[in-house]
Amino acid sequence: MKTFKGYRRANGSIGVRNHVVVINTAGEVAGLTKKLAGQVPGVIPIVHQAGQFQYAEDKKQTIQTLAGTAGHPNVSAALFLGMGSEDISEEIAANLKENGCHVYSIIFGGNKSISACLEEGEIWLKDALERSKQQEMEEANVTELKIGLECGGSDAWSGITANPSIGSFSDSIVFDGGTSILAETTEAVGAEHILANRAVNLEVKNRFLEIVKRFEQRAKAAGEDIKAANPSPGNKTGGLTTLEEKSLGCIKKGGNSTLMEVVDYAHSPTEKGFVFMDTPGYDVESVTGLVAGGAQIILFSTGKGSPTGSPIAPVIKIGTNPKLYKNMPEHIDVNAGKIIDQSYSFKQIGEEIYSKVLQVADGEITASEKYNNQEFSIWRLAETQ
Amino acid sequence: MSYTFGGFKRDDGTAGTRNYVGIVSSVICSSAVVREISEKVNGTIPIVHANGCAQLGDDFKLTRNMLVGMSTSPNVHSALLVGLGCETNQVGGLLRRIPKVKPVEGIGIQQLAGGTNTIEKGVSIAEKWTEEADKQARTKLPMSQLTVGILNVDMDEEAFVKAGSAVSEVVDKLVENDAKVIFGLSKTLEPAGDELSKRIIDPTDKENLSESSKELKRYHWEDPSKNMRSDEFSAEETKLAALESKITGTHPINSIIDYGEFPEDSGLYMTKVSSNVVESLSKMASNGCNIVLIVSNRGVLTGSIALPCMTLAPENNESLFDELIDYSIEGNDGSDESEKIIQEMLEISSGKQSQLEKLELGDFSIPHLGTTY
Amino acid sequence: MDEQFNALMLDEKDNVAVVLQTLRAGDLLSIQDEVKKVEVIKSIPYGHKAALSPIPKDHRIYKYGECMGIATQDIEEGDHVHESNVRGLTEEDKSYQEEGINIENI
Repeated sequence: MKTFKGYRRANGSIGVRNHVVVINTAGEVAGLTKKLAGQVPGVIPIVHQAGQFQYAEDKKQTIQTLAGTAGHPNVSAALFLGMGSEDISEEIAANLKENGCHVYSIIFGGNKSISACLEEGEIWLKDALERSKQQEMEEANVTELKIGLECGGSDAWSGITANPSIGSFSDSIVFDGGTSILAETTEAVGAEHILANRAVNLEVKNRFLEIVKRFEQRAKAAGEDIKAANPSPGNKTGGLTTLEEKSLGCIKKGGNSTLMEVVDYAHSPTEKGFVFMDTPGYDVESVTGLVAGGAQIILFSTGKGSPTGSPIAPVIKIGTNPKLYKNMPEHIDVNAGKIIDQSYSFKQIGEEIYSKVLQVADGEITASEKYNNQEFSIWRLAETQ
Repeated sequence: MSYTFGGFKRDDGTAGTRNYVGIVSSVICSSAVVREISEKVNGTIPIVHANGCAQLGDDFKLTRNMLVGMSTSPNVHSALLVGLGCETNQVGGLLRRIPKVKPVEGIGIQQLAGGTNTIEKGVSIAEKWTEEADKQARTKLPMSQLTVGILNVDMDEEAFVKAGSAVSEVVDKLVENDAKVIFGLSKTLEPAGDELSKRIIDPTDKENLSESSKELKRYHWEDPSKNMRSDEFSAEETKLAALESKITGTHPINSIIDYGEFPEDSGLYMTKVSSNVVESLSKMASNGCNIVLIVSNRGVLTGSIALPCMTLAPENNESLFDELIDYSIEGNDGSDESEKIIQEMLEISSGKQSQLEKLELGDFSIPHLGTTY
Repeated sequence: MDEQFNALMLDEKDNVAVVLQTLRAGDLLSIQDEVKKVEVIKSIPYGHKAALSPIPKDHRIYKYGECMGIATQDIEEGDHVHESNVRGLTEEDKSYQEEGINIENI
């Protein structure tokens, strides 16, 4: 039985990190959020420009993402900074508190001055940091892990080396009772039948086809015909012949397991096993959604070398080719390029990924964590009002 | 009398009120590297944002144009563009569009084989440029060298009554002294569009603005062409808009300028702004402003990373954001007040820190026009 | 690793392999766990596909164990499999493919 040591939260979930974060709920407060985090070393700022003046669909998505981030198992405590009478932070905080999360919200523009608010925040964060240090680790089973699957800065090797290796890992952890979450709806357009045919039942199948269709239409409304534009001339030079082949190269990160569930952006899966989340191909927004949906660790394949991470989840970078590993070793955690020049099989790299996942779950720092890559961006659907 | 300030002359004829070396990220993926370079070199500003990849059409162009505008800003002595390599918003594309009137260079993480090398290279370039910037002295310049953004935030009827005439006079004086003024055209101003359009010179902008005053239009995100909702403006909205339009002064408005677009001649302009203050101030920074006057009943909690933002508030309001306010408008004698505001503005333009600068609350953000893919 | 391989088969069901280095006509494909060595008949750039067996016109191309396209002409063993001899799937192909698959576990 594969296990790791993590942090058990009051709501029963288990984290692989123990972060204290401060998050803004109004764009105007982003600067103060960074300032406050700077005053308490060890606290991670999570800032964005969403939250206010958004259309209903966007506001819902923002709330879902922020709640998922603050209530994430990797987070020990979260402080929200908001502003004004219609601020969303108190509502989010109240819901999370009910769930046993250690959260608090401070609203600027109430009956306290700015410096009083900052001081209050500083005191709360220092206390939260102290309390986080007292939390003990306990052994947990891999069945409690949710691993998000992502690619970014892909090259011609992504679909040949790294992604099938991730797929092999995904099948293994699903076999062991854990969860893997595939994402990036963009990549499924044109080859949706392949994943749809792996759906556990008709409901999941139809749900999947529905989100792919919605995505394709949204792109079309903005003037982009995903089917016509892929594979791109660059893809073809790299050896990709058809749209199905390109898509397979991406969706094979999900291996060959049965598709158990399809969830919306930033929503938590309720099923274990292989799951799909509706996210854009934009890697940072996709990772933000996967993490908000409860993924404790992200596997991220890259061919050109992308350093991005997440503020709260370790991101494991799988390099697709030997040259990348030679040139940018600082940004790569697992070298799937060994398939090309050292005759490793993707099953072997899959096993290497599994060991790395367990080590990282136990606390080993990934490249993106080492270099403070804490990118965060919520998938925006429309413009600001 | 002639108004002057001490600023930094640029080769393209503009002048900075600040002399920053801009470290500009082309895409979110290089933002950590940009922040680190900026933290290591005093005198630099990190221009980071969440965009730059998986964007299409106008949404992508907006990102590119804003970053070109930021790099061209008169407050930016020199601009170092930092990219990843595989992003939509290529550093090469930005470099081609930035006018060659100041030191501008581009580097990329993939090209330099990793963040560590990129930071090292970036720091060495930034150090060289900040050294040059430090040697540059402020010179006495006429007020016509200022491009002043004016942004209203959360003003109510009482606040407009109290502050309106002073701000209106400030705008007029700036225009009369050949400065450029860019007024934030927000949704709240729309009901007054017809009245304002009479002062607009550009015929297309005139028609659009007049049109906007007819009804409140809201687009639905799923399919903008089908789901547009129109409502009548309320009496309250119309009244507030009329008050707000008064603070644009009395002079003709040249045109409505777009993201990253700089006004060509002196005089009054408008730029569309959203309710998001960071996005609005960032847009003004990309429009070539070198200072912004924020007119607010409460004071706002954020400034611009590249511009001094001076906060004007009607006096004796119940705002708890006193720490943010640079000038309280008493609202008695318009002409005396406007003179004091202009003097304070010239001092801030000459290097005095605004309250927001003292609190180090400068930010930057690029709006989205649509979804990402 | 004891032996160096120059091609990769992503699934045992596949009739194409991805070459890991650029191969010229006459070179032999070597794949892990495969005894059979296929002789390449055209130059194939790295990352591109080689046919592991003859694929008649209108037959499916399998990579990752999935159908990724249809042969538009007879493809010989060792041939370069790309745009000139493969097309993507039509909606009709997809629905045909779907019929053959059972939805399990309902």
